[in-house]
Amino acid sequence: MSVAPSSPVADLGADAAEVVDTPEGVQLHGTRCRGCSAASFPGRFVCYRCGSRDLVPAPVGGSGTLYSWTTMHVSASQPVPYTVGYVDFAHDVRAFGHLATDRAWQIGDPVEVARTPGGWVFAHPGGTS
Amino acid sequence: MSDAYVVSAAMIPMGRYPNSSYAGLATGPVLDCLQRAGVQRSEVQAVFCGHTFGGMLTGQRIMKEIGIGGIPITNIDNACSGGATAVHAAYQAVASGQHEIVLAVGVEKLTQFGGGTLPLIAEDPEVRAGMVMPAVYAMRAQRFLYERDASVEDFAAVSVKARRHGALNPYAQFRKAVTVEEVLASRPIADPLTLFMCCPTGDGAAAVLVVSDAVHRRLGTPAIRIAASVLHSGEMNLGHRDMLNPQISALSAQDAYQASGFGPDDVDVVELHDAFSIAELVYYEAIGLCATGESQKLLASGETTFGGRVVVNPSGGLLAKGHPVGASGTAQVAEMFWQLTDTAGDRQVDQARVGLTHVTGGGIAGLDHGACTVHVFESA
Repeated sequence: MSVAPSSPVADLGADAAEVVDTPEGVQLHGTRCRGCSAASFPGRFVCYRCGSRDLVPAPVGGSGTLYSWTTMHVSASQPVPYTVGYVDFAHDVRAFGHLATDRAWQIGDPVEVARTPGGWVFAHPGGTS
Repeated sequence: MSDAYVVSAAMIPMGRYPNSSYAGLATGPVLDCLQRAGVQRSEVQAVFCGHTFGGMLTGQRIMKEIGIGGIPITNIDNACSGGATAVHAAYQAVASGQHEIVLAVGVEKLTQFGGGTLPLIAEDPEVRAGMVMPAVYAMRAQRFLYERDASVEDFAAVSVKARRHGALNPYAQFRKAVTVEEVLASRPIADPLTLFMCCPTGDGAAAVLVVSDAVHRRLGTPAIRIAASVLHSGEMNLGHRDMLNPQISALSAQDAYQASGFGPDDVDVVELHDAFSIAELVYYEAIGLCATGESQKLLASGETTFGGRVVVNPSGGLLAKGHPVGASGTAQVAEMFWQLTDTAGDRQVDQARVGLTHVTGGGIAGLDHGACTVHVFESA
């Protein structure tokens, strides 16, 4: 009789796309917990709310509300300037990401997830990104 | 737990020291700290060294240079809260009766990075998406402007106060007063924060000596009692978190008040984590100096500068004194030692008897911050 080894999670190797096309449009591609149904973005391997390891990939929101934002003029990690923010979605999901810079932003603005040539961005509804 | 005292403090002025190693930064403060207390190197029973970017065995690299070894030396990260976590660990070691004479050291050399924002851990998904520390505070600032009857002038006023205090402090990196206009005209960093609303990058080192009641009595030197030493970690919340109500700081302060028996009204002097000017306003509320929504009024009232009810950051704080991250928490305790032993010189707070220090650490996805340390001290 022996004790089974634990497994590492391949959280860096996960090649999951960050956005997914749905009948309702482009959505963030995260996970949903089968234990407590909590949604998260980016996707997770363990549910921090209930401790479950039973999570499945799921679209977790395509239209949300801008919680806050800033334009960075200095950064250790990316070319500047760039604009980032937190967007709140239904089911208590908040996601951080780049904002489109075609128009100015204000807290409370409606936001849509939109594909770009390089990936995705938070955009004004109907706006070009 | 029995009583523990800070009986000595020393630090270098914060600034840029490209020709000093981590050991070079810290050996002076460590030796001065021991000398001022009248304690021999051989009497030190343990060392806790706070740093974030010092690399392997930073504490040992310092202590070997001055012939301290054999004893336990523990290195502590906890980002900007590392230096205060070292003091917390020293307190735990003395208050539990494990040791009687313990050194806490905080040291950091940010000039190794050549300036700019702190390098964060790229394993973090938000960091990969462009998060840096100024962005965290800038988003708080945007939210503050949105929710409160406030303007960017309120953020500038924090910097003006910090620089005015720092001008009185020979340990400060910035020693020149600035105007609201100058703060607003400085270059943009993360909208709406301008350069003068952000702490500088620099180097620093500070040391404090924590001892038991018996050793405190034997030494007979001026001392402050550690009335509370609280350390919290952040609690994961990927949902709709309130960025103006950082729970980690509020809960740490609540615990510190409860443990010390003092309340916000008893505190004469505070050193808090003003890494960016918005932070001071948010933390006035989090540590209970005023009600939610009253912070810009408290600042404008003058009650948090010299002559006021509770002087906040008489040292100039992180904005003016500087913020070599792992050193800052120890430096706050050194400042409080000087304030509460009436040896703070031109920046002395009148009749200061009770003081509080507050420092958070780190930006990682889902947490307000990674760590928060709050201490309450009383003149002994």
